[in-house]
Amino acid sequence: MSAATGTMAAGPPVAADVGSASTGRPGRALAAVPGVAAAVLWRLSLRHVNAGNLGEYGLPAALPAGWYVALAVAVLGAVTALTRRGKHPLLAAGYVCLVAVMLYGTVPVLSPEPHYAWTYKHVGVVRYLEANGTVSPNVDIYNRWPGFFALAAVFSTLVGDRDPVAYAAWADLAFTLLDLALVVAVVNVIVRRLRVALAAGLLFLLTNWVGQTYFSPQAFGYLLGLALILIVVSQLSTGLTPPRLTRLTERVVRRPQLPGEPPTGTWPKAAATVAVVALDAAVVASHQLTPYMLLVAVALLTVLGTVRPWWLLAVLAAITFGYLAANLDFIQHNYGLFTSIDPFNNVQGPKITQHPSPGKVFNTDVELLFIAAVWAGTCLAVWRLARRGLAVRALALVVLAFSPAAIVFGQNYGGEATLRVILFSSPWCSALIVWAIFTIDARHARAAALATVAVVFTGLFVVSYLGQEELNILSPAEVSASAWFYRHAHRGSVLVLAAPGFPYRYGASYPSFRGPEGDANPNLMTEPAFQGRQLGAAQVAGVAERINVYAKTGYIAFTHDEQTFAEVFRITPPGALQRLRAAVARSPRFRLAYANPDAQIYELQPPRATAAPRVSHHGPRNAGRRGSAATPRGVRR
Amino acid sequence: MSTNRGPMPRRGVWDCALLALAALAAASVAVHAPGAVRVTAVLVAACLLPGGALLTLLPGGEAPQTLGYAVGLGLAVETLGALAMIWSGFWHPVAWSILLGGAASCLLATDLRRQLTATSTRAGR
Repeated sequence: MSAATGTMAAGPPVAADVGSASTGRPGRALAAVPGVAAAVLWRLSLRHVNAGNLGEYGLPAALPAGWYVALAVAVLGAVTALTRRGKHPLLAAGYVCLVAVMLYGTVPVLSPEPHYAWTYKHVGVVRYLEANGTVSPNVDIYNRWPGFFALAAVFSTLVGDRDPVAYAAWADLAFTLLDLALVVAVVNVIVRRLRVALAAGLLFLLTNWVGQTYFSPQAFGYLLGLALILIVVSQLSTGLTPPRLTRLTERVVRRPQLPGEPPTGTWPKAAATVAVVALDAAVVASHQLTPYMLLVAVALLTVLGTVRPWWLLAVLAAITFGYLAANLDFIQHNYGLFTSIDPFNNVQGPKITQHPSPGKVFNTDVELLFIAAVWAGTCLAVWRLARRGLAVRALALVVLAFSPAAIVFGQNYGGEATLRVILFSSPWCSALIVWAIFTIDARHARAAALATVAVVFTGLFVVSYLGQEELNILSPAEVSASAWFYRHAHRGSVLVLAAPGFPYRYGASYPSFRGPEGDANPNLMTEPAFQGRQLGAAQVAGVAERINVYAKTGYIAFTHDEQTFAEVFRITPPGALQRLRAAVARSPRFRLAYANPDAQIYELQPPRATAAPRVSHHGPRNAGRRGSAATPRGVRR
Repeated sequence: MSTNRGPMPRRGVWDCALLALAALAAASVAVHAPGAVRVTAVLVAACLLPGGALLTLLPGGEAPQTLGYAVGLGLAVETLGALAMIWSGFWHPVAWSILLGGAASCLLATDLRRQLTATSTRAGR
């Protein structure tokens, strides 16, 4: 008898598990027909979408009705398969995967190039490692945390695509599907009901809106982190909880609590421990933040007595802090170990502009509403589970859901602390919400509740996740411009961007160029002289000065995406960057080095008899490091 | 070595599927199959093959957990191997991949033979 069956027989005071009987093959095939039809409709609906010319409301406004109908069929099909008696779990799994493909596969279908301009700096590191076969710790932080990049370089070599851009556009979908499998596995271990686990997977897809599953070390670290959590909760769980905590819960909710489930571990303890340590070592060398998130979660689970052995925590801490110690000077010099211990300060995001367009205000409002809805739903779910006597059994999920908030007591993570909290808590918030819904006894009410939550979250997700794609989707021409630059530009020069939105540091040669750390740095939009005014010939000298901060010679890049960024966030008036580009083109100090319809790169001519520029030469990489005032929502580390 | 193994047919099917996946990935690279096929085959093999092979040394579990373990263990081993190469400067990704894939296939083939032997022994009783 499987553990899951045994648990059901033990009979927690929840609604009976649905779907113990399965439909036959013909019935299953029939139930899959709407899903197949939705998949076809989804793909056909994307044929005529022009992703290269989106408005300030992003992709949702450009998607046709057929796309929304297909998505609705997939989401409601998943809900039906999860809640109807007699539906096979495989059918539900198929619908959940279909939802993943529709949500995370839409952008790569529309655009062959990976979205997010900041993806390309990761591509550049992979290409650099491929070309050199070793790391250069002084180049940047990625060379000091090279796990993901080294593995991607192996993968690129193996598949024969030396440029990861060939496959990186699909990274969102690939990472999401792998994350989904791991989330389902973890929830299945804790809840011991496959349908609840699959439903948690569905909600995880719908709440994971922060855009961190792209081709990046954090997406990879997150995946390995989920695997680590899986082994911890399935193989190292004691099934125990502190009696005092149980008594306290019982007093608060005035309900007796069921004891914890018996442990499921079947591996030898040594094997499980080695596996956890190996995973942690891979995470530690791949991403800066993820190991700390894992450490806090494992520490809390250990302190509560639900995970043993104790010393595992010490080993994980030693690996994590030991690696940090080896790189401490670099971190202190370039970023700082702690930003603030004030959580209210650390949850503040980067302020891009004081007067964003209505589309961006709408995006932000929807994102805030989404955050509030998920957390309110989670709190209600915890209360409901406690009232049903399931608080002790849900303890691991509660710890995993709330422990990521610890980050805001030490770091703002470049203004992204809130996003990281959402990322790390969303699977477990989803699981708690779904589990609470599955405690509703009446089948129709249960189905209605899950459908309502799924539909509302789908709507919020589409706006939150796809609502900024007018800034994120890059055209092949823009990527070609970047490829040209890193192949042909003079080594030792600097590339200044007119605004964020250029695929920066895309080539293997990126360490040969000057400029500060950070996304889209240097760019003109961080300078007050270029903000909030019409631009033209008067600012050309300022462009040259900006270049000369870092090098005697350099380039300025104007692209379609940069212009969109500046105008959507209303940093410049409409047409300002076009006028500046025209002025640069007319200036004798610049020459056109590269041009295509979406991107133009101008080279600053070396000074001859002209007045010496006001130059402040700094070191090659960290010179004149500035804040990320005009850095879009996304990832720095 | 485990004694509490999953039922043979499922385990045997799992071994066969992973061996087939290894063959498909190797063939797609060798014949330079179209990009999407090659990338997908190698990606799925990279995610499942080494971890799936390691799981033959451990007691079985439910399907969702088995899939999760395979992904996690496999990627951890591959990452640590890639790190060792990149830190040492001994960069031989193709050789490393062949070594890893070969070792994984050996483990899977050994496990498959064990499962088949156990099945035939049971059938003979």
